[in-house]
Amino acid sequence: MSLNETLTRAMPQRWQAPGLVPSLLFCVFIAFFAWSLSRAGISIPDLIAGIPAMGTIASEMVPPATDRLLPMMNSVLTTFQMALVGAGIGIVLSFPIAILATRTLSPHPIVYSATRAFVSFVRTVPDLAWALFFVASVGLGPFAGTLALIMDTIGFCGRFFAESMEEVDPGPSEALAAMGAKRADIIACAVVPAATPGLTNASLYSLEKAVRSSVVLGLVGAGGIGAELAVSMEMFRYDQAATIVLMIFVLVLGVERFSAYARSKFLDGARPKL
Amino acid sequence: MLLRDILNMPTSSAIDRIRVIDGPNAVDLEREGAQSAPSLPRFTDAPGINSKTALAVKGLGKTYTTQNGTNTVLRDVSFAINAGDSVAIVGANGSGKSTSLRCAMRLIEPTTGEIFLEGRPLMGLSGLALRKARSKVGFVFQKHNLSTRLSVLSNVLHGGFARGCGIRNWTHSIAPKEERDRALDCLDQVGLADLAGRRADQLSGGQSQRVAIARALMQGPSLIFADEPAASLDPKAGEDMMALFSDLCRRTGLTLIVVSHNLEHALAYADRLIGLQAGSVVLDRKSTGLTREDLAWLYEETGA
Repeated sequence: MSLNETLTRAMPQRWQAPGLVPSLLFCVFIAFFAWSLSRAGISIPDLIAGIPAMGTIASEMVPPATDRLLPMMNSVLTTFQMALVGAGIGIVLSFPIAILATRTLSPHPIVYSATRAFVSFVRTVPDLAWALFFVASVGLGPFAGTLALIMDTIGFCGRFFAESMEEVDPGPSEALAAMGAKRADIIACAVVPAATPGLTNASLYSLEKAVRSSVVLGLVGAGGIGAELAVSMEMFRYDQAATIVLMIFVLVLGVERFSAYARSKFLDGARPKL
Repeated sequence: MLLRDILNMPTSSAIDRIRVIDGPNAVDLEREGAQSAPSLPRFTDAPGINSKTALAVKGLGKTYTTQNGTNTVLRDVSFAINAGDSVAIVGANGSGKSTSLRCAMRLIEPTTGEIFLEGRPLMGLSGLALRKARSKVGFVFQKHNLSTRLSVLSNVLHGGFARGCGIRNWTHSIAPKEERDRALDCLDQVGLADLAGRRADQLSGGQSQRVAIARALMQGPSLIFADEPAASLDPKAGEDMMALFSDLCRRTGLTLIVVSHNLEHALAYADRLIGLQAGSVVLDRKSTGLTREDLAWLYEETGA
């Protein structure tokens, strides 16, 4: 082909009309959303009628009760400790699971698919369902809650650890393989260092998530501050409930601040040199 | 056709002599080639392995099967390289240069062919035996491929994995003293002993590539495969890189196989050129007396 041959100029259209099938699907979606609105029981009159009750509850919340401060603080501490241990053990267990669920590191495609399926299943079951299951099997108390948090963390970290490790540049791994390094060496020296930001992020986020869900787990008897909150609400002690909510707020905020600090330390490249 | 003829006119005799393996006049030229270039290795039957052969590949082929059919990227590639030689593999983009290196180390599993590394067959090996064999070859890539979140010294220590250095070589903080000393010596050989404690992402491109070479030296290799080692560097750094390779090989007697599309580098630093075109070896001769222009035909479109 010679250079002075006239080339066809091809200006792309500004807009392209969507095809028939996408248009139909969009209309179906809009119709479904409208139906869902009607089934969600949204009722403006009910909302308006509820405002005085909300006002009463809110006014009863101030001032927050201080009569059971010490036992409540103890419960908050238990909640946090459950979350810490649950997330910690969950993160440690997630790591080998994630390696099996990483396409590039898994020893066999069948192992990869099976592990992926397992992690997806664990993630699909809600934390409250795990808590009910463990309360029924190991009894009431923080142990059931901790087990539920471990499962929840595995479902979350198993997936995101695997994705972090799948996304790393394959170059360093190939270089180590070319030298004759073992799979364990490659994982430890090429994959994990490159995936550190992703692994750190997922771990810290799973800790935040565990703290938030550990509060709710108490509602089904799996230990911690949730039980106190349920009792206060049932006994119409909204001032106590307010204290508990404030404590939870401080706890979650504290964990998130710590998380942000740890992230900045780990991700900005200023870590000690290994 | 026109362009090639015009380009080739002044040096057509040189072209004829080097176009020995393939091409329209293959039979005539082969005779002429045999007369004028006796050192020319040819693989008509046996790959001529002897005690001096560092690497021999015979009939190496790689075919990818895709939905649209098959795509053959290497066909019947054969060459033998003597210990201490420095050889450049040249050719256009997509001619199979990098693939042939990767196939020779089975980083990409070849579809056909045999590979002999220091006389021992590589094809049947797996596990520890394959890792031991691979450790004899220091592979330097176009990208430095360092673990950039680790220190320079740790990266060099990783070269010791195949010798059976285990977990303690993961990071220099826990590595045995002998290994640390050895790694620092390797860094010294590439002139970077002063940067051992630095994090690898704080190096320039040329420095990173030199750390990659130090890591390859840490393996205690007998061959170095370099896949476009200068391509991601600026011209000055690229020149330094090639000079370093050349110097290392002269001092230590390492065998060097470098893939390059930089013909100046190939001609200046290699004793022998292997040219690939569309996955086949179309040129294999000493580099002495050749010029850039003599090799221009390698980069022409084929298969049209």
